Amino acid sequence: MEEAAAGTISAPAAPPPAESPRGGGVLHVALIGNPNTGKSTLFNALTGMRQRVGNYSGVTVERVEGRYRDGDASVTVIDLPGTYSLSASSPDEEIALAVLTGHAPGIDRPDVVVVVVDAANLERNLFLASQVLELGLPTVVALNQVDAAEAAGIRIDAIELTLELGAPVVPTVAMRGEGLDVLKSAIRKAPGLPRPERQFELPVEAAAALVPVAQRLTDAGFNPSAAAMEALRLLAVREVGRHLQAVPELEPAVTAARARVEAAGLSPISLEAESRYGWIADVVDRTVHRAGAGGARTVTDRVDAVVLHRVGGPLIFVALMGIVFQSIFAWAEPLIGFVEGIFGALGGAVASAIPEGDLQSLLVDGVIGGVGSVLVFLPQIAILFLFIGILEDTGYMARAAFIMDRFMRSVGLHGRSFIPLLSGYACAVPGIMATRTIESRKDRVATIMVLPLMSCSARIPIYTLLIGTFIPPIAVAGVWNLQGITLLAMYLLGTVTALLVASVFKRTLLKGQARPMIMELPPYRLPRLRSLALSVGHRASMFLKKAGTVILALSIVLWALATYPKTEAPAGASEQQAQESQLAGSTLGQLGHAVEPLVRPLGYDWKIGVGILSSFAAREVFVSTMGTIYGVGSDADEGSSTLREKLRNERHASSGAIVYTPLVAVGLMVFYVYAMMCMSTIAVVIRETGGGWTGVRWAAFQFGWMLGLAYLSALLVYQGGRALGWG
Amino acid sequence: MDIQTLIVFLIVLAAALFIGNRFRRTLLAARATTGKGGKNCGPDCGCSPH
Repeated sequence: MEEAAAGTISAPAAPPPAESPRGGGVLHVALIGNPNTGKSTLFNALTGMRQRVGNYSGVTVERVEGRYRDGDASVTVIDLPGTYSLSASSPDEEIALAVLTGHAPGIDRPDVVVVVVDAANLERNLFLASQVLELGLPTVVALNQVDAAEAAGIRIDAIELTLELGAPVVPTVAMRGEGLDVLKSAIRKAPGLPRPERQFELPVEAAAALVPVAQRLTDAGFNPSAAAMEALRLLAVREVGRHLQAVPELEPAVTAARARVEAAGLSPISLEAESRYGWIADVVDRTVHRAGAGGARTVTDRVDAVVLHRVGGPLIFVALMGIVFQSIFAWAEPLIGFVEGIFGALGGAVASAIPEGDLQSLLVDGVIGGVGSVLVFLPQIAILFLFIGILEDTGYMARAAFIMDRFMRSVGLHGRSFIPLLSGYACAVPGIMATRTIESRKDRVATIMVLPLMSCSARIPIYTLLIGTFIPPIAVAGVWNLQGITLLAMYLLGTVTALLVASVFKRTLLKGQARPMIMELPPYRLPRLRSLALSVGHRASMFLKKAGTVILALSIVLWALATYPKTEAPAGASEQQAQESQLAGSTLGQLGHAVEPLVRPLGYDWKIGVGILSSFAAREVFVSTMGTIYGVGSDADEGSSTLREKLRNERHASSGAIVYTPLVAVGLMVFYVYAMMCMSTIAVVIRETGGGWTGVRWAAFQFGWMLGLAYLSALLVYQGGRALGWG
Repeated sequence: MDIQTLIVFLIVLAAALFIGNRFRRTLLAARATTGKGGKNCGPDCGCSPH
């Protein structure tokens, strides 16, 4: 491996005099590559922990920079967004092209570009690589994941590939740090090598048609090679890109070039793709050797034949998710009981250590009752993310995206919308940010509008509190459990509604054509323990951080609202009645009674109304609010009983009827499937839909329709259920 | 005002200020941006390592 790598960095021809790096010996390197090529792993391997994350000026694309020492020299590395091409049709692609052509505000053109290509998918990866090579910058190609390629029977002649591309090719395995020394050496030497250039010829008519376009670009300061690459690219794109907007008379020249290409019987849209892929096919023929004639069916092929089956695939997907949700209840229950016990004991210890009074009540009922009631669901969140991590690591999630793509396209959504929607299961905020890879603004906004319907981890405490308390753990069809099925139903309800609503948006407000998605299916592999531990640890720490900040602060404020003003108990009232009277007369009680008429048709009492109101900040706050309210409203000797027990025993003051029937619980869950109760999501929607008042209008529209849908659905569930005699 | 009441008052005040500040930094700052990132983006927007 190292020997092969060492043999690849010699130059194909004698180098011309090199330009020395700018910035007093600091070498600026840009890392670019397709998604899933291990680019970020390579970036981390090169730079270690010396990284800085920010934004590119003027756009909301994340900018990641790092550095490393190479002998006495300092090398800064910028990790460009993962992209399949430089067509500049999405914000990510546009910023990558702007950086490489030296048109990104505040960023100098890099001294060296490292193109990371996946050795197992060379043909597709070479499209981007060929575009980068034509920019005429010193370029090194990192042929990454050669181990996986070799395991799949693919062997690449790196020296032959170096000669074909006109740039050094270095085999690497970034995950294990293999080939890094050779890569660093190649980066150091790259400025002294001949500049790469286009290796294929265009049809004569097309080449002639592009000359005026390239001329305008060279007049504007582009080097001839980059100008030729840009001219070819511009034939197929609708907008020239922000970095070219200042080039005079460019659009008329492009329009004229398109007409000439069409007149010659060629397609301006597909000319670049046909030319590049034609050349790439020849390169792959000469450099890639596959073991076994005709490509024997691998284990992955055989598994995919079942997992991706047109009918069986979706069924397997749903069954797998059912098993996951069922396991969440089966495995987490003992852990939840354990955590409840800890908080019960903690409350008891604090109550005995601090004299009776407001401070004791604040700590026991407000802080421990509020935060503790949310934290008991940490085991379930950890188990869910363990499963998601296993499905991701094994490569199944990519198959899930493939299976879902059919449904996505049937509702008019872009195939690329699936990955952001999938991220939404964890949290809507990164999911919404992941929509930046979607080229069409209409597709992007449609995806953002429905993304919060995907059940995020913040809903887990609500679902599991209500399911665990009110849905009996009875067996269904022998192997399934009603609790797991109910949880799966909530996730499916959100997902199916998201697709239906997206379909409505795509046919009305955000009308546009659906576009196909190209995606790769990685080979199946065993999950890595370290990566699973990191993923679960990250999610658990985010949950703990939120519980220790926002939920803690809100629990304290809600406790104060539930405690003040103090009211005198009616004469002759029992202790329980006195506490109820105090709670009803508090600020929170008055607020709850004010909203009660609104929630009464849904079967809720004022306490649930207050829980919903407080959870506008974040959904989990509903659970902590219930913990606080039932803590304040309980007897001192009731302190050890859990929130679940208190909810089961809750009765309407007037009628004595049980408050939480299974119907009320299901209606409440449906409400939380649909309602957009998250301050952070609202903030990110405002930003990602344009910011300013435009963003505010989109966020307000989304908040409004989701709340309306939540209310009407909960109403339908409760009133419909009662009419059918279920309540 | 006894010492217990004073402590309770200070804790509740700190929590209320924290929530107010979080609200300001998240929602109002998001409105202040023009979708272009920068120093005004909120703490949960993911655009910078807050």
